[in-house]
Amino acid sequence: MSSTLFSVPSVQGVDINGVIYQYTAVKDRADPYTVSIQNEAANGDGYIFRETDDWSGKSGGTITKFIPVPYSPLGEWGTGNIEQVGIGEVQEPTVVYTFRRDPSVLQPTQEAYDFSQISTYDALSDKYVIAALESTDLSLLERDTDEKNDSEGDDEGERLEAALSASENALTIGVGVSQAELLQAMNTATNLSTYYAFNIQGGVYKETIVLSDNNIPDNRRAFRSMGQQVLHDEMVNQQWR
Amino acid sequence: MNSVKIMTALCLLSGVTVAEDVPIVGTVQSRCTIQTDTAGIYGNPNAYTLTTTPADGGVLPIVRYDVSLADAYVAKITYPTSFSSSPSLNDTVEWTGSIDVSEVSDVGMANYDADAVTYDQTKEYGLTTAGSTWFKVASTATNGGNKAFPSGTYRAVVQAECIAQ
Repeated sequence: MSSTLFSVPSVQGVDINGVIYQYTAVKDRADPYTVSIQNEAANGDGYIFRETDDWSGKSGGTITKFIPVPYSPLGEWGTGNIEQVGIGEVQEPTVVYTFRRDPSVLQPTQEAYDFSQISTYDALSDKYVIAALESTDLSLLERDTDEKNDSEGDDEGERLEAALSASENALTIGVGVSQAELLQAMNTATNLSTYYAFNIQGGVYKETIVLSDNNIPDNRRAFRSMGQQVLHDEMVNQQWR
Repeated sequence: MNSVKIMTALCLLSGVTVAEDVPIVGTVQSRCTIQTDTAGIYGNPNAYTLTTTPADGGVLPIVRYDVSLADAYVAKITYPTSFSSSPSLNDTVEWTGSIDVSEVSDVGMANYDADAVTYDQTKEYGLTTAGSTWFKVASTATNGGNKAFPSGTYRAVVQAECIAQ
């Protein structure tokens, strides 16, 4: 025999009126196997709820059951468990209690939940976000150049300080550059997405261009030119006759 | 003279047959109902296959039978062998499918699958226990010659019947 314990919290003003449970019994048909969903009585006098499924001689499967029970105060419900006897296994069990509550009896402190206990993520406090949002200060570049010139005559300590300052500025510039690249990439994606997302409706697309002049007149100037060409050819040919 | 008339009338009345139709009204409530628990969706794992297999992006349709009288009905479920609506197809479609018990509301229904009768695309279950039974139906359509299905919306229908024994 094996059992899985689950506790029912005690709340004043709440009456249980039903139990919904679901589980999958995995077993061979020939094996004896019973599964009991049960809750002990809080006063220790046996069980306040007990539903037994006898799977002996039956194939396994998923069972979903709703068992209505007379209204009983939640305080009378003790620890619940799933008791298994025989050869088999219960998988993915779910037990849900349906209840009604009496607001006049329900303690206000039980209704209100202390949301301050929930840890929230504040993006504006994130050091990486702050670093990414930091603007590029051009004066740092000038200062970097000045410091480079001044440091030629300085001692070893000052050179070290300047080197550290330069590396800090480089990081700042790098963040600024990466921000610009990111914005550019976002703009590119936005511009392209309008083309990619556009759907052309299926069907037949008929010709919409209409020629207003369906009678194209002959070119009279061309006719005249052709006539002159014929006369010219006759004149040239006459010398051979 | 008047008394003679009255007597004659009484004699005539006593010989008349009086009839009255007494209505009997009875209402037969449905003891077997069928509900669509989950509508199926065809996934499209490749160009030539439509399937309800969840691993391929589909959703198995689930139908629920509610029976309030044991040993009185047979559930008859048939998986589809054609599209009820689709774009114009370019080849023949091969259909496969299966029907299984998904959930039961009573342990007495645990042997439904084992005791079911299968023929063609149909499976018949004897509903021997009162309560609710959920059946899941798998359906796969493969276009002939592995040709791509034309684009569009495809619909198919699972037929679920509750037949009195």
